[in-house]
Parts: sequence; structure tokens; C-alpha cells
Amino acid sequence: MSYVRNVANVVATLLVGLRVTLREWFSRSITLQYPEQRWELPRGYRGHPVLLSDEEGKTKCTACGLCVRACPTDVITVKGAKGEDGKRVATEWVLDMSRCIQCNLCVEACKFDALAMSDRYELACYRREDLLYDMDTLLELGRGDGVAAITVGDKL
Amino acid sequence: MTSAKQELHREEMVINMGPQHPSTHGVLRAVVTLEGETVRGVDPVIGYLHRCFEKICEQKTWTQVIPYTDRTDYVAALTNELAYVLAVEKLMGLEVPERAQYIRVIMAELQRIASHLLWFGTFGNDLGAFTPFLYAFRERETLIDIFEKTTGARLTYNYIRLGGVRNDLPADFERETLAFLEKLEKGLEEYHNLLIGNAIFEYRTKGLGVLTAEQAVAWGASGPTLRASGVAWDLRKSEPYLVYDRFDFEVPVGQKGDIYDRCICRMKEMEESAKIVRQALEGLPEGDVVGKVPRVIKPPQGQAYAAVEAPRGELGCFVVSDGGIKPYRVKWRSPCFVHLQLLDVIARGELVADFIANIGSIDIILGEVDR
Amino acid sequence: MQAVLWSVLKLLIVLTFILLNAMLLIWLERKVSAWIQLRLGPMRVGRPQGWAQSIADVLKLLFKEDIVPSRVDKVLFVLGPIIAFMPALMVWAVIPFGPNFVSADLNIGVLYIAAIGSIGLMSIFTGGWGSNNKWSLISAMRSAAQLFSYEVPLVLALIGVVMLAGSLSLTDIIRAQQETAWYILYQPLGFLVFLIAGIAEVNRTPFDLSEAESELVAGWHVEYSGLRWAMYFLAEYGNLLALSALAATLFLGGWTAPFGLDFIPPFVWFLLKTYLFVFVAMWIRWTFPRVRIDQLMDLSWKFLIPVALLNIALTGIGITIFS
Repeated sequence: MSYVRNVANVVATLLVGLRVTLREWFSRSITLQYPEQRWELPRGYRGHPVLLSDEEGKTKCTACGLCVRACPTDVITVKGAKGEDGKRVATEWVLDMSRCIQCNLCVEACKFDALAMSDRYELACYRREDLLYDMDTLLELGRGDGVAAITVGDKL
Repeated sequence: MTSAKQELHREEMVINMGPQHPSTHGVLRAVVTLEGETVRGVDPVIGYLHRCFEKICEQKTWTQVIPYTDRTDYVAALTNELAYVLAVEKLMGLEVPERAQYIRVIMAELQRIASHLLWFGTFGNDLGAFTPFLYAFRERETLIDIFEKTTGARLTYNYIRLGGVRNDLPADFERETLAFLEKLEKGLEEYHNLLIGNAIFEYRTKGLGVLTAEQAVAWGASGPTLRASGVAWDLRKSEPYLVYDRFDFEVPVGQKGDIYDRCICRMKEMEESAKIVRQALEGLPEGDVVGKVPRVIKPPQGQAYAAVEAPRGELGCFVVSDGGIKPYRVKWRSPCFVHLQLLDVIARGELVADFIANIGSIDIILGEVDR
Repeated sequence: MQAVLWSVLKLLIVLTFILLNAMLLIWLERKVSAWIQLRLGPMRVGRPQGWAQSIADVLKLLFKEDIVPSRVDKVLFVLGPIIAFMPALMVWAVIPFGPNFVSADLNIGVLYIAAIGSIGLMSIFTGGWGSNNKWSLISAMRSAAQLFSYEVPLVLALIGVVMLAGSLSLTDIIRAQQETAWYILYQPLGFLVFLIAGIAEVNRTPFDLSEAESELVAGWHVEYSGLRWAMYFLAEYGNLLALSALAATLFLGGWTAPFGLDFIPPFVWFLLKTYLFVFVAMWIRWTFPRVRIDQLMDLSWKFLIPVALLNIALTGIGITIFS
């Protein structure tokens, strides 16, 4: 008798499982048809660092090198020179995207609000050299949407 | 009559499972000795994902180590950060604001749920049921979205900082998290109906891969793997860190220490974590999320050990400082490394199929084993 | 002459029918699994719903390099996929698509099918053994044990049907069902045993032990690629289709139209019933975890065979009482 009950029990649990899949069979799929459909990125999504510019469109970076020191993977190269008004400005700011781990530490280190994280995530390219983003590219990307600089202690 | 047994040629077969194998959870290589289908010995070979984590830490400043810890146990990055940060804070004697402590608890528990959901999916996969994987990922996806909104990343968060957390919770965090927990409740019921309560599942897991309480303690097991054997040892209860002593939750304990118990323990842990998150959200105090932290982090000479209850077990971090801006030594006590050694203990004498179930049941992440 | 032409034509029709259906089944399996798993499945190749995915896949596999690993037993390795296709095709010779549409109406049809079904084992065994790979060896041994054990309940389940119909010819069995009712009503136990044993026969989850991706990587076809692998793959679905057609014929009245819905041609009814069974098999596959090899044996010898024997006894008693 216990044998029959056992069999009945087994069959019951199997039927319960079948009911679950049957219900999901006719429920809506959750697939997003990328690239036609895209998801919304939240503010503060960490793509990669970009440079912010002032009202005149010039970089705010003073080539102080704090970001270089903050970077755990040594991907930032900065060179600076004295500008016309005597202040130091960056003349070269290169990001080696092939090694960047998008950790946000450079943005947190920057004291001049010159850095932010962009929400770019399609970073593939054909040549390794294309992953070296120079200052003009980064400034241009910094003017786009979805750029946010979130540092320690911020509210979102 | 010559006995048929004598003429029958018997031979043990050594089979190389992994590092390219669908069920070795990454790049584990197990040299398995088989007699027919019976496992006679398991020799795990590790190191395929070794990235010199501990050595790299000695080259980085104290803050720069945090993103690296994300990459050890990449399924539960937040608890890794927590272990390291707690150790350094202990060393420096940093004060952490209450709100930050609550946020850490919430995030750590959500991370536990995310990690267990992934385990559930892959364990179903190990047993040949592919559908639970997608269902578990449906729930996990919602959770990962919450993480993304809060921390800015989906996997390697770099969120927990010395003295607090990086930023405050987003505005609709509470609403979304509570909605998720409700969804999780429904999900857990569905997982039970689909897989855990299934008779085939019980046949595949009950009474197999038994780890007795003595063995578990002797081998240094921790987390659900230990608790399934009947030892109620949970760092959140036995050595409370952060503000865990303020919450009311239970520690699920198994009896037999078999695969089934380990599964049930994890499933129940998700419910308990959900309880903790609910309580923490209710009691979330206002205030800063980062305490007073010196501009340049230079812990005094000395050493400190901090351990957290990671999803997989006791995750310990031992740091030594020589007073400089870089750690002198960072040692990682990873639960997976310990549990991997259990494979031979629990899988010997069982079939190949059980061996796969055993690997799944101890929930190893090779990134943490090799580091 | 005309008769010969006619049978050749019928053969060709059957052949194309199977190949097209096998490809359709592969696409369907992907779609059904995707729907169950909240996904969309193939969507890109061919709109709507990626209908051309299987065609694209087969074309791709055709153009792949033909790799025969150097340490394999060449004869067995090459022979494996060819044998795999044979039973899947040969079964169709006796399955009636419609009232007068059957390639060869053998009077020992059921016996023929039982015999042909066993050949499938040979393909897995030759492929697995010939591959000279430890995974495929384990897989070959497993499938030998499995298919051997499940032949028995499968054939025992058919005996009840044969007893009721009083004939081994499939056409006669269908006609017998037209006179009474579908045999699924008389033979629920027999159908259950047939369903379980059948799914085990065609190596599908929860009985896909010889393929067992999470354990044996891919089982017996771990060394196969390109066209040879495609043949194994198509044969797998050909077998599923053959099994479904058999279930429809033996238990669901074949091409008989139910409820007097005669305006739909018999051929369509036959297909509908076949695909009903296919869907059930897919539904089961994407729901359950895999059983273990010893449990599989237990299920066959300790449950299915006693039940099948009980079914035969009950059928015998029933026939004696009611006739």
C-alpha cells in the first residue's frame, strides 16, 4: 500500500512541476531584443571616465595628477603646461580603455570636477589603438547625455 | 571451471573533468578516478583563474584594493568588499555612521539572495533541469537592476568604502526593494514547485554527498555547507558584526548534511535574508553614509582580521600594515577553497552524476578559490 | 511498372516529410523551450519568429570542415551517424498517414517497429565506442543499458494494444480503434508505460543519460562535428517524430477524425495528433531534472515492467469478460 502511495506522491510532485512550466509557457517573455530594444540606464551608471569642460568648452583639468595616482590599473596618462593666464592646464589626457576597470576612483579623486563617468557601454572596436581615448574624444563624450560624477558621500 | 570473475578484466579509469566542462562552475579541473561509473577518488586541480590577487594588493594603495576584491568572488562582490573594508577599519579604528552600517547590511543580504539565486539556477542545470535557471535569473535580474541603480555597476560594484559606503541609496530604493522581495516570495514558491519539491530532485539529492558534523568542523567548512550538517554556526549570530545583532532572524540548519539539506538551507537562507532586509529598511536611520576618513589612508602598524558571513561561508580578510599607504599583506580566507577540498570526502563511492551534484551543492566560485 | 514508380514516389514523399519535419522539430524545440523559459528563442533568421533558423543551421553544418580525430576507429566513427538515421527512416515505412497512404502495410507492423527501434542503440554504441573518448565510452555504456532496459516495457506496452486489435498491422489497429474508441481510453496504463519508455527510448530529459550534458559533456557525440553531428541531431528528432507518430497511431486513433470532424483530411489529423505528443515530450523535457542511471534502471525493471505486465493481464481479463 505504501508503494502505491509513494507512486501517487511522486506523480503528484511531477504534475505540480508540469503546471509551473505550463503557466510560464503562456506568460510574457522577458527577453529584450538588443540592439533594437534597449534598457534604460540609471543615472550614475559607470561606463568609463570622461572629461568635463567649462562654459567655454575648455577642459577643467589642471593636470594635477590625482587621478593618475588614484587609478588602480594605471590607465591614465596626463601631461600639463602653463596656460596663457598662467594657470596649469592639461594638454594631454589619455585613457587606456583596454585596461580601465571602470571603478570610479579617478572621479572621486578629482578636486576640480573635471572628471565624470559616461554611460557608454558599447566599447568594442577593431584595433587596439582605438581603445586609447585622447583628450578631445573624452571632452566630446563628456558633453553628451548620461554623464554623471558621483563621489563619496553623494546622494543619488 | 575457471571463474568468470578472474577472466573479467577490471580497470580503473582516470578521467579529466574540466577545465572545459559544462558543470565545473568555471575552470575547475577534477581528476576523477572511476570504476565503471563509481567515483573512487577525486583530485581537484586549481589555479586556472589565479590572478595574484593577494600580491597585487601589496602594490596598491589601501583604497585601490577595494575594486580588486570585487573580482575574487564575482558572484557576491559586495561581501568581499565588506570583509576587506571591515578589516581595514578595525585596523584604523574608523567610526562608521549608523546609516552606512544599515546600508551595508541591506546590500550584503541582497547580495546573498542574488548569489543564492544564481546557485539555485546553476544547481538545477547540474541536475539536468534547465528551466529553473532562467526563472532564477528573472528574479536576479531585478535585483541586479537595483544594484545598478545604487552602485552604478552590475557585477563589480566598488561600493563599500572605508568609513561607510560610496553614495546614499537612490530615492526609490525602498519601494523597489520591497517590490523585489515580494516577487522573490512568489519566485521561491515556484522554484519549490518546479525543482526542490520534485520527486526526481529528491531522489537525486537525498542521502548523497553526506558530510557529518564532525567532518564538516574538522575540514573547516562554513556557511550553508556547515549548517546543513547540523552545526548552527553563523557569523551574523555567533560573532555579530555591523548591526546584525539588532535584527530578528533564524539560522536554517539541516540534519543529515546531504546535498538535499544543503539545498534546503540555501533556499531558507534567502527567506531569512529577505526578513533582515525588511527589518533594516524599516529601521534605516537618517544621516551621513561616510564617516570621518583621513584624506590619505595610512593605517597604523599592526594587523587585523575581519570575517563576514558571505553567501558561501566564512569569508575572512587578514591585513597587515607597516604604516605605509599600501598594505604590507592581504590574506584572503575564502570559503570556497576550503569547501573544494571536501569534494573527495563527500563524492567518493558515489556515481558520476552525484559527483556533479556534489560540486553544485558546495557552491564553489573558482574566482575565489584561485584568487 | 506503375506500382514500382508509385512506391518509389511514396518513399520519396516520406523521406522529405521526415527531413522537413525533423528540421521543423528542431526549430519548435527551441521555440517551446524559449517560451517555457520566458525567452523568445530564435528571432533573427527568417521573420516571423526565426522560422529559417534550422535551415541556416543545417547549411552551416554542411559547410563545416569534416573532422575525423586521428585516434578514432574510423569505420565505426563514420558508420555511427549513418546507422543513427536508419531506424528513424525505416519506422516510417509502416506508419499510415491516411486511409490508403502507407508505404508498406506489413502485417507484422508492430513487430517490425519493435525490431527497428533496437537499431538506434547500435548507432549510439558505435559512435560512442568508435570515438575513443572516455566521455563517449561512458555514454555508450549507459545508453546500451538504458535502451536495452526500455525496449522491454515499450514492447510489453504495445502488447495490450495488439491484444485489443487482434492484429499486428498498424492499419488494422487504426481501423479497430475506429470501430470501438481510441485505445488510450482502454489502455491508460499501457499508454503511461509507452510514454515513459518512449521518452527514454529517444533519449530525452529526464532520461537523456547518454547525452547528459552536465555530466558527460555531450555524451556519445562529443567528438562529432559538422555534417556527422548534424546527422545525429536530425536523427534524434526523426526518432522523436517516429515515436510520436507511433503513439498517435496506436493510442490516439491515427488518422481517424474525432467527434465526426470529417471535413479535415485524415492526413492533417494524423499530423495534429503526432504533434500533440511532440509537445508533451517537449513539455516534459523542459520541466524535469535528469534521473540517475541506477534510478533509471529501477524505474524500468521495478516499476514499468510490472505495470506493463499488469496491464497485459488486465487487458486479457477485460477481453474475456466483454467478448
